[in-house]
Amino acid sequence: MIETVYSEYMSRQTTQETEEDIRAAVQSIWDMEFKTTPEVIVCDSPVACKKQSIADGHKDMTEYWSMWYVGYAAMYDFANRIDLEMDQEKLVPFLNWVRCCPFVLFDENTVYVSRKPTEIHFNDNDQLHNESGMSCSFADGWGIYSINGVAVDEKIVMRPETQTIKEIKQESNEEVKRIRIERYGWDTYLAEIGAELVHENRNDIEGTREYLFKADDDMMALLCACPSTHKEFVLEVPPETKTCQEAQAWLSNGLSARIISAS
Amino acid sequence: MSATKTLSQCMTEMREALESFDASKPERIGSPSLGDVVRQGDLYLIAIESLPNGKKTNERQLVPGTTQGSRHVVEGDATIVNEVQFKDIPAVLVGPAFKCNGETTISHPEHGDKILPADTVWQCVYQQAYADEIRRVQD
Repeated sequence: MIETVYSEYMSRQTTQETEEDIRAAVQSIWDMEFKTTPEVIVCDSPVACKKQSIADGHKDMTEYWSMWYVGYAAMYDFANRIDLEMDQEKLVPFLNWVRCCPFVLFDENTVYVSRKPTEIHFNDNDQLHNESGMSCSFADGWGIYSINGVAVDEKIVMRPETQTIKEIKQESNEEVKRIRIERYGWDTYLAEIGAELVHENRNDIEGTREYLFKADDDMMALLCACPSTHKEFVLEVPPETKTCQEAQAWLSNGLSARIISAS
Repeated sequence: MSATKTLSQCMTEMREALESFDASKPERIGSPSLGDVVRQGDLYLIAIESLPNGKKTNERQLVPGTTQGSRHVVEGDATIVNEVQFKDIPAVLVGPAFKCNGETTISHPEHGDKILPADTVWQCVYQQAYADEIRRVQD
């Protein structure tokens, strides 16, 4: 049963619903929440909803991403199918709402509903992922780019070689920075920043090797890997750092010496 | 240390070392001493004596954010307080503290789960990022 529900919900992500079903799904929620009959405008994508609402003179509308609740919908649907006691008056409108309205922009009297994506790409772990295009795209061409579940910009996926060293260095999110370097090429990146080894260490607790290096502009950074994900990171540390242990101590606020377990 | 070793060689060494080590499986923490630290990605859990003063919360995610990397979640019977102070560590790097009333798992979608023993108390501290301002690592 779990496999059946899982397959249904996964395959349904790009199945377009009729306008009639979309309007009915909205109305059933509005009957509970606002007791009004709103005007429902169906658009091709979340961005199209925003553009249309601005063109129509609406301001300060609330946005709601029902598509993030698909997992909950599948769970409740499964519970219902194995005859657990569920409140049908709330369950049915919720399931229809999640199925028909992946994104809405609304106020009490007007609702802009985005149609579903036309394409979604996942990796083997069911994370949004596509190394050669959008991971999730809509009929009007709008969409998002993701690498193994991490949201990134178009350049990182489609033209990674055109990233600049400055863009990579200034990336504030370590996971995105790691992906930037990976797509740019580790060897190219380390060569272009003029990285020179300062100190190396075998971290016995984490089962990893780590390397402190200095780059052309006095940047000091620890090249290390996560023992559980095996992802590689360049973590910048203060320029006066001399050893890998000092780098770990700075990153951890002095806690690294007492680590008994790491993953 | 070889003076001629290149970072490219270091990358190869680092990857070879990882091949023989897998920390992605759940790990049960036995009997931690006060001050011992359990690290799960960019989150450090320090064994402390008792729950500090703070605001009790039902929020079970220990790291703020909506990304996959931030989903370090308390699973089990635990009392959680936030808005706490810890030593002289800047407030932006200090997360909630929690008491495990029973055996409690700290789960994460990518890093190995940590199973903490009952009746232990833990303080969360975030990994620091090098930036103009003091801030935690984001992933």
